[in-house]
Amino acid sequence: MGAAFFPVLFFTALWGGVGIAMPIMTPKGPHQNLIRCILMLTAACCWLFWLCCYMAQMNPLIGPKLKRDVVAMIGRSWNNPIVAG
Amino acid sequence: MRVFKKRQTKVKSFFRSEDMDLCQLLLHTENAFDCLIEVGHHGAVQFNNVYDEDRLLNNLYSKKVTQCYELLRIVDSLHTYIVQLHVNEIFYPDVDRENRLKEKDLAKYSDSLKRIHVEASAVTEHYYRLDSRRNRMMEHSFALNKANKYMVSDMGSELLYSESTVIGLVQDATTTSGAYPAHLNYMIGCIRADKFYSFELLLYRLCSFNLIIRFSEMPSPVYEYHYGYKPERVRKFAILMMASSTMIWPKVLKICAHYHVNIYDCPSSASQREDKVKELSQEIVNVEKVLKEAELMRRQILEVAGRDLFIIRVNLRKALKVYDLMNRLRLVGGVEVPRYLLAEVYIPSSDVPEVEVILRNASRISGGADNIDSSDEDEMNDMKTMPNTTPYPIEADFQPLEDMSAGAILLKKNRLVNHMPPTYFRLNKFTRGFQNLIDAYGMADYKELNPAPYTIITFPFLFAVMFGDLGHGILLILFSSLMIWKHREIEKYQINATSENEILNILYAGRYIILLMGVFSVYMGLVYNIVMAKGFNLFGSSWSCRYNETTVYDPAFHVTLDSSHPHFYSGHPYPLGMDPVWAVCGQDSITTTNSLKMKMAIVLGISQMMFGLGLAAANCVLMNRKADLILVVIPQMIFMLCLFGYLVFLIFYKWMSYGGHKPAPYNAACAPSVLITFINMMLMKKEDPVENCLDYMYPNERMIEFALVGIAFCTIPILLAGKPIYLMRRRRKMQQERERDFKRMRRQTIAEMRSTMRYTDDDNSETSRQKSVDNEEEHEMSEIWIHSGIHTIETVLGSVSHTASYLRLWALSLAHDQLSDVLWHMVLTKGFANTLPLYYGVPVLMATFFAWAILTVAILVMMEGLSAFLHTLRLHWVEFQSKFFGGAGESFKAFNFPTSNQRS
Repeated sequence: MGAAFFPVLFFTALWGGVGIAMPIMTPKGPHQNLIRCILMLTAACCWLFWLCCYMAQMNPLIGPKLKRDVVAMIGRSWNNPIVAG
Repeated sequence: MRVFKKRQTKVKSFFRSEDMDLCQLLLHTENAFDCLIEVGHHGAVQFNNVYDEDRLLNNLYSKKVTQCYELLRIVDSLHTYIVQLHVNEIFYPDVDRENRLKEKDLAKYSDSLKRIHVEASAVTEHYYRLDSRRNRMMEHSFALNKANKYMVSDMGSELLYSESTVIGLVQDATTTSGAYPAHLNYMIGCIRADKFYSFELLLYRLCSFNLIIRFSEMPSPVYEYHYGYKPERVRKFAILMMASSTMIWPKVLKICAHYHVNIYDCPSSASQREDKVKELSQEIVNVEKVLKEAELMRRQILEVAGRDLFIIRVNLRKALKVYDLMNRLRLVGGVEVPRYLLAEVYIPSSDVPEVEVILRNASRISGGADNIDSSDEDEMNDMKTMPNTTPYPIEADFQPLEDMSAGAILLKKNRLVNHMPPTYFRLNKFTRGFQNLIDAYGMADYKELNPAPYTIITFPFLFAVMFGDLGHGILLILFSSLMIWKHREIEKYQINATSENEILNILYAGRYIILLMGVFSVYMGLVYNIVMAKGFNLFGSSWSCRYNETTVYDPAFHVTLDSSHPHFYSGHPYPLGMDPVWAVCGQDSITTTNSLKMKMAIVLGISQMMFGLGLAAANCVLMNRKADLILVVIPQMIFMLCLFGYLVFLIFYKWMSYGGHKPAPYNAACAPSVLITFINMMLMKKEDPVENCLDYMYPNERMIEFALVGIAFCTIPILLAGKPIYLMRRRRKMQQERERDFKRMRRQTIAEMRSTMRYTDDDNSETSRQKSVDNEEEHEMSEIWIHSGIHTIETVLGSVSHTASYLRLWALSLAHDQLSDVLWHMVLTKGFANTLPLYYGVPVLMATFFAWAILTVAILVMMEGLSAFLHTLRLHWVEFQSKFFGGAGESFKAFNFPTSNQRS
């Protein structure tokens, strides 16, 4: 089905806030431009990194290979119980 | 004269270098010293051309320079005495602020230093003489003791073996019976232990068995004093020499003089020898009393000297620096009585008012005595002219004129200069570390865009892409926070330490870089889902597996979750970073993580390079280089976008369009390789499609790719020939203008071209230019074509190699991840898995944990951190800055006194 709606919106709003809203609200001073540059670069870098990681997993080509103990661990810890029979 | 007016300048960030004003500084010889002392403390003035090798000195202050050297030599001598006696030399941390130097202080320093030096030298010489005298008496006493003991007890038996004695006895037997043997002669002295064996060997070869030597080592070493050298502790031997004949003594004495043997008197009878020893002991006691008094006096004098020696030394070094600078300035004024020093200086524009205030204050302070004298003269004049009325305006005019002539004057020069102004950035403790990274590569040109503000974020970010691990990032944050929190103690330690700690200085200077590297590593740890090689499951994995017991307990169990089945993949990716299932499936996740990290490295690399080209465009706009913008930077951008921007598009398109759960022809089997697609695009090649798959990723792919390649290759001729042709046309136009008596501007053209190629422009004189105009034009034109060709080749090939260079982001990230995994499985897991009894199991687990912790810090944080740091540095210096940064500027070298510390 591709991307879910909420994570994309959440992280885009988060880094958009850091990269657009916070530079607008930076108080005036000798380092205002520097702070704005830092905020915008941080937002752009972190958002791009998250986006690449998210999009790479949107439509996986292959699935993971699991061993017996891993399946048992997943069954016990991740709420995927092994069915009797 | 026009006095420079105050101008309020807004303080800017360090995106570009500060505005520089070229000024002329006129100093009066009476207060130039005090003015320059204040300027040195402020540290915002650069004196031009004063330290060139061919600079002529005005020799007005050569005597002062020599005097400062002499006084510093006296200071070093006193310091040597102080170190010898371990006297406390008081250290003043605030010497730069509270003990500021004035020119009249130098006379006081000179007088007090010379007086203390004379006293200290006299007392030291006296002490040395007393100690030498005591040492000689001790040697004499010891030698007498040994000789007396030897001769009383062993004289009879030893003499029997002497060859000459036997001969003497034989002769005596033939002439008379019972006669006493010949009278023995003996001599005592002291010799240095290291010279004794060669001395003994030489005497044996010279005198053979006619001379008998006995020696004994003194119980403790003694000091030897030689003028101009440090006192030396030496081991000494007391020697006793006996001979049957007096004929060999002159030779022996010569050899003793050559070997610096101290010869002492030795009475012939035992009782006299014992009396002599007692007498010497009494004298030694008396001399030791006087010696203690002398040492006490010496120590007192040196303590007085040590009280102020640090201040005097620091201020003398400053005075030496100032006098050397004054000796290099140009003298102006009358020929017979020069009164002014002239200097050409660069000052940051925003600092000019402050420098003016400093110079005015220094002039006023220095002119205090003159003011008193002036007021005294006025009073005398008033008394003399009491009956008459002096016109007030005349006196009013006289006073300001004197003040004007005595003060320092700072004039701004507006004429154009050939050389580029120096580069100066106003930094604070946060930004200085990042600026140092850039300056290590090259100093920015004047008013060129500075890479450092952007490096504040991109450097820690790219470091974290390679180093990303939440646990290791937290370690970096803790370490840098400790240094930031303890910065007062560290700075105090750096000031007071007697030896410099290089590693601490480097880490302390980069503490904010380390902090940001830690913060971004924590973020990367969240996205990579790694905490010390382990993952965490915050939001629930998108993958699930439901099997029954029969399937799970099958011995051949080994399953791959099918991404096309809803039971295994939910259809929505893990919201933040990597899915935890890839952390638990072990080595099988490398295929997926490698694919992700390689594509991510390409995306980040091309983004940074495009950002660099954007900065190049901004730089051209700010420096008013439209030709460079249109003919160099924009073709580069088009080339990069058409080829490597398309590569990024392919990556994103594949991520969106192809998936295991999609029907053919967009399923896993049909997914094309991005790299092969890109190579086929460059080679304009077509491959046969796989069965049931399309031969394109999107409609009209072939046509679009051919168009993009065509556009990219069209930019290469523009890069190669655009600017040279533009310069040729401009030169032709300038020649036409020159025929119309317009001013020539060829130098700027060459400067533009060469600054783009990162060459410094030459200052060609007008005469040589007129001589060979035609040849020079041809030479310059061929040079321009060569540079343009090199630049084009570097751009085209550099695009490919720089893109490939960013793959190191993936390589180091993989290495860090695998090393972390190895430490976990090979070290710590063995501690967890041990089945020993509790009494032994807990210590084993503790030992295993400490081994794992130490190896984690030493290898993963330190070694891997340094490796990632260096690779990030290369990515910034070469891949990023080569797009826009010239780096051929000169740094602003202000006349400045460094902060005084214990080693000053």
